[in-house]
Amino acid sequence: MKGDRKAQFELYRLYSQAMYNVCLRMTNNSLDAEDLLQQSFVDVYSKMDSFRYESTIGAWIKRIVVNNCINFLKKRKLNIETLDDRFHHVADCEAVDEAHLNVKAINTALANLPDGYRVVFSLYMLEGYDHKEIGEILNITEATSKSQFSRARKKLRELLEGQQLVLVDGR
Amino acid sequence: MDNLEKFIRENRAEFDTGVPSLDVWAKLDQHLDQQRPAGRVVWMRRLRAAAAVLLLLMLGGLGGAHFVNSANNANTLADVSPEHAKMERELSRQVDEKLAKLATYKQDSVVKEDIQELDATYEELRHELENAPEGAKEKIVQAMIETYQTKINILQQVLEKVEGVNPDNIKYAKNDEVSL
Repeated sequence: MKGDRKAQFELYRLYSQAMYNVCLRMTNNSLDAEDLLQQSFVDVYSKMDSFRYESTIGAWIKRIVVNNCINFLKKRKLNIETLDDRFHHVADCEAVDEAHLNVKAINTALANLPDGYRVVFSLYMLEGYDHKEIGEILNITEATSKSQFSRARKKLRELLEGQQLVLVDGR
Repeated sequence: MDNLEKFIRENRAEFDTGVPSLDVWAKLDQHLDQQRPAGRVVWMRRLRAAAAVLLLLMLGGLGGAHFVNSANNANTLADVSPEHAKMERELSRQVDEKLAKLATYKQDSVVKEDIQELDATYEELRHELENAPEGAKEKIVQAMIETYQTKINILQQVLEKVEGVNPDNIKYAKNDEVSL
């Protein structure tokens, strides 16, 4: 029925920006992010009938988006596994110099992280998943997720304070 | 929680600064056109098929039918009997109620065409009822009632759809934090 298109647009209007930013953080590339956003909404509309209100609709959409991003990165050989797991214990991170704590600097530092680090850090800190869920999403263990996160966190601090940042895709 | 985590959590909303280009919706819209679901087409086809069957039944009935004096012929549902009048009032009340409800979603225009087509069907049936032989009348009356019911069903379906994705009816949290 024609009413569908308006409803579909309404859903897009509500969630597209948040979901686009998820894609942008995952892929580090605005064109890939837009492709994934489009593909994800096609999936959302075709799976709409299977949405069962077990979570919020936003969380449900986000999971579809995240899965599409991960599949995309895997095709491009995102290698979480190869980031070896020898050091489960990573020392507690030092505080970041307050002078470097601003959104733009963090976004830029994030864009300069290796894929595996960036993905785990984003999923945990910005998309709100816990390590158990990240393990399920990436098909890695919870411990690997934790150690990846700690190392990503350490690297991020170095990047923030080192200021040897290259602007990636305008961010 | 260290100061970086604290900073990110406190300023979470500001991290979503990217804006997708308008092309994304344009492409989606185009894509959806190509795989347009046949929902509306299906029931319209069904209705037309039903109308065709009805016509055949009537023509078939004409051979042996007595033509009654058209002066006494009912030409609206309400004229058939007091019960039918009551039924018509109830059906049209339901239609009005749903149309009014739909109007609050600013989506009422989307069903306009469907409703207009059903109204046209109703008019045709009314016209047929006027000249129909006694034997065929009951079926035409039945078809008129079904037209009303189809109308109500369509409105109901559209209402369910728009209510299903209405932001007031879903637990939509700004910034979409997944609480776990």
